[in-house]
Amino acid sequence: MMSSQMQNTKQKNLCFLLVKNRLMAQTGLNVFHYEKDKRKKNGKIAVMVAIGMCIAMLIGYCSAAAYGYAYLGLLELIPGIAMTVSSVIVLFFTMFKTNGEFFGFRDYDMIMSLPIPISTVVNSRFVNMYLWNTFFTILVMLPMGTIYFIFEKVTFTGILFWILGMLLSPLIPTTIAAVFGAVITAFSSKFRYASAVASVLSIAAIVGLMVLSMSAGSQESGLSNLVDSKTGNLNQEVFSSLAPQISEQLNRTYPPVALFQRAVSKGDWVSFFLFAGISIGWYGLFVFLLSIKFRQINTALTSHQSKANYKMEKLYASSTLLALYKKTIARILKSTICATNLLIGCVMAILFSTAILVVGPEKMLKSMEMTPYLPVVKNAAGYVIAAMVSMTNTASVSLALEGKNIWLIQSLPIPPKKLYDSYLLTNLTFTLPTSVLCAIFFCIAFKVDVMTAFIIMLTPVAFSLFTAVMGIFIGNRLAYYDWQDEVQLVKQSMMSLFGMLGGMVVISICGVVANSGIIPLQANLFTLLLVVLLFVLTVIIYKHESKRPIKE
Amino acid sequence: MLVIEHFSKTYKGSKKAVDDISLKVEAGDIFGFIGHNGAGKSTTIKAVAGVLGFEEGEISIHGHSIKKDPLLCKQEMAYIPDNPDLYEHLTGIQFLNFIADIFGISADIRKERIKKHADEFEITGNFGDLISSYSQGMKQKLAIIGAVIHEPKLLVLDEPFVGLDPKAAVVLRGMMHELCDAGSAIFFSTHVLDVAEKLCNKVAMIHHGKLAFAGTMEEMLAEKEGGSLEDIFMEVVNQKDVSEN
Repeated sequence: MMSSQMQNTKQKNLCFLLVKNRLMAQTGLNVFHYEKDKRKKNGKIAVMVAIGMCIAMLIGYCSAAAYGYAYLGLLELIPGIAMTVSSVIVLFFTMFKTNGEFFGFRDYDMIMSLPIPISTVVNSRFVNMYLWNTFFTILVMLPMGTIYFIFEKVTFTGILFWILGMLLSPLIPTTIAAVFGAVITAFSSKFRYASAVASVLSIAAIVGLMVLSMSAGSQESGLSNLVDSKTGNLNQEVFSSLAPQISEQLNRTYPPVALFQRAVSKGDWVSFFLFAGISIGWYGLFVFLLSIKFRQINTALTSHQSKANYKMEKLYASSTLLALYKKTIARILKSTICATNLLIGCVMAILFSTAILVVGPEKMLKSMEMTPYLPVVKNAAGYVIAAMVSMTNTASVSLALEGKNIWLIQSLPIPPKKLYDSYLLTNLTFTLPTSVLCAIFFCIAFKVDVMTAFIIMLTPVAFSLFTAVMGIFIGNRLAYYDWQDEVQLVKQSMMSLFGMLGGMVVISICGVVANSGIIPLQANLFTLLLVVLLFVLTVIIYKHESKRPIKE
Repeated sequence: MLVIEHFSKTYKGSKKAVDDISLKVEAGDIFGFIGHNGAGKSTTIKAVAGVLGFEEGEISIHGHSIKKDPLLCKQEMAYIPDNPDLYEHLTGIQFLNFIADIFGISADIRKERIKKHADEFEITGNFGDLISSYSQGMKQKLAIIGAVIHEPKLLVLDEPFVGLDPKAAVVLRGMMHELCDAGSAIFFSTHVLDVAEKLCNKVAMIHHGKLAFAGTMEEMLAEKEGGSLEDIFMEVVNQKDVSEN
């Protein structure tokens, strides 16, 4: 009776069910529908409004960029650039996510105990990433496509290929990012300290990618000749010769661009089918291969080696602050998601300043086609370092990272000030030495005088202190503990958004104001006054936040 | 040791989870807090531990208000939730060192206490492993050792026997008696009525957020001659449900 009932009931698509369930958790749809706590609901609405604003800005930027290309007569570049930009966004945003998406996810045991084929589980995780990436791709490609077809002759095949291209183009970068994550996780799962190995490998890989992209972009494209250095006018001849050059460079860096560009501009069905075939083929191959190794990698990650041979040795006591500090720093370093995402700012700053020191500022700026800006970069060195270093803001997410362990912090006799101090110290452990080291590298590379060296050193230090304290301020207001996975917290929360990008925006504005001559003050003097103001603000915010109880 | 006076808690958008509860736990008491799922046990226990804020009533520990002097109260007590989430990125010994550092326990004393309890629970060998590799029972044992490391005056436990193997449950009962003999008090919730009957000298029964009974075990058993704690519990639950309907 029972089985006949089951046979008569139409089985829903299992992949769809898994994806739907995951999307509901990620978007917090149920919070909108069923949450009775207005504060939580309003928090979600605020997040949505902020995300909406970011989306509007991205759409505006893409439209303006496409219009700019069209206006300058570089219309044929738009399809390639639209696809390259969206692919790069997808690649970088997915890269650090794959670890938690495919491996060691919280409901792994439950999902694997259900009668669902492994390939369906893998497919559902991939489709989830793909849907998010398609969303971002549409945000980039739709406005650029609209501008393109306003200026270009509209053809049915052109529009059709563009729409299908928006749906297909996230497949390759998503697959590359997923392969990247899978290989690193599979390799690191063989080690006792798997997450530490994965963190180091991930950072090394991202650095490698950045170096590769920089070397690809450093080839002379002629952009520096766009503006006549004597008259300041745009050079029309250079423009006309620029399009094929850039186009060739894009195609060399990312070959599918050529196929998509040809399909859209010439209505070439063969190119389109080739592009679609490569995209879908990559995806199919990945799901097939990962399905074979999926269980094995996850088992290796979740079945820890248990030595069970500990013998009591001499123990060491430390202060409450030091205990909290050690715990917080271990929390960040032992998580691949946290370490790779939160420390990338410091890694970038060290790499950039090392490159400036080793290669020399002139060569470095020449490779970036920014030679005329050498004096500006020299004056703004402190701000450049500070902007990169400020992307490492662990303080803004430290409280929320307590997650389900928050009961311990709340039930132990820990004064809130000590807890916040431990978060600050953790943040400064990464940012202060990086700031000083980078400043030293810049000073040596630019051969600056003592006063300028002092300012270059002081600027990132002052901003490091300020952004760390602001991180506490942000965390105390926006922290929540019921997150599902770290990715949600570290990459998608308002805390990390404000923490990582807020500082960068403020520093960039200050840098521009200091060096653009808007304020009738000498740049170094302005910076010095700003540093004093920052120290005062830091102390005021620190004192204010120290009195605040731990968020419930 | 623990005084709860007219404590009520209402979660936003819902009815009262706990309604006007008053209790007194004295030094040497092993006080069992009994109730069905959703009765309000965990809410009360979390408020006592200082994890959950509240507006109505007063809770004081060793004469200090948990609202006004939370740090003083927390110095005197320890709390273990049901199904405790511990720092999985730490090893067992790192976790215990962390707790001992928070309470300012000297290196020698912490070693002595940790070794004693860890040997009793037969978990010493696992202290070098990450907590993420521990079973639920091992995590529970670790949480218990962490809770008694500073010899608290008040031990607050939410379903402490869940996940423990029979031998570990016996060890925990021994530890509870030992603490009470030394002048501490224990306030714990449980579903296992047999355990409560054998272990507690005082009990309180909570039903739909309201206190149905509070007193000594003898007083409770005397109310229904010859009956067990389970019989009394079922009677209270059924009577209340009938009167509410």
